Amino acid sequence: MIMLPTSLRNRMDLFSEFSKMQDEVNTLLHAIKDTNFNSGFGVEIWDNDKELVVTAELPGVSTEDIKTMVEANQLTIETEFKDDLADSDKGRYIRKERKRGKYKRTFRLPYDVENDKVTAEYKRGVLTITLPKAEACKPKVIKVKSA
Amino acid sequence: MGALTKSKTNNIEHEVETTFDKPIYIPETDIYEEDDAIYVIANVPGVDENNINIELENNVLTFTATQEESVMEGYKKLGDSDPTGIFKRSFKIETEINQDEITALVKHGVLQIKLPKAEELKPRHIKVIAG
Repeated sequence: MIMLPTSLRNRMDLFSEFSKMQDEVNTLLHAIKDTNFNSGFGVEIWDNDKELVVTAELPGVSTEDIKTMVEANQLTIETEFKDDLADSDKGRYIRKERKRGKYKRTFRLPYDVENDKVTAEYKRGVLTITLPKAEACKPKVIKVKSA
Repeated sequence: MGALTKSKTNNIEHEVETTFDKPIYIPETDIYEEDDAIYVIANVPGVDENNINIELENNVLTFTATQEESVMEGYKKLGDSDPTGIFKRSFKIETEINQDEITALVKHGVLQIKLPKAEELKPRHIKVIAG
């Protein structure tokens, strides 16, 4: 059995506990709203205070089947894993583990982003979304005028 | 649970454990059989074609696919998602395979290995001549 090192699992701070709870609530809400969607694909989120980079593991999907949406500081990634061989009557599956069907995940972003400047790229089965921080959220030094 | 399954499969009675510094993941895999070939299709997102190793030895097919390191310099990772690692899996192939004709391709993070079945010995027809 391969597990994450315990030190890594124990180091989760309160914030990530809360965001996990939020994700769970979101998943539950999705379960009620869209029963056609699953939520199990790997995602990593990176932040450098200027932009967020989100990577999602979506092996074997076509770019037309990927939908990404940013709305009110929430990012939604939606896709469909299709079964290419389902219609083939030349053979049969001995083992069928790869995911099929519609998947969707929604994330609350830690700050507002420039919705117009969000870019997405799909390479080697990984979707990379870059979300630049909104100008209004960037720290600004305010010059003090003498009266 | 993420896209990566961490359960151990028991296809092989005794598996030699590896000592990589990266986590080993069991990739989701389909096996599809046609009359003349067996296809092993595995989800290996984030893997470059140069980082895939496939071996067939003593009827055991083993493939190893190393993901591109995702750690981003100067960035902080949010959440507790699984780090990038190595996909590794072995299958015992019971059918006789034509080893020279094995081909593999990777596209959009999906590895497809084609194992053509060995041509069966054609039934020989012996003509009997009346003496």
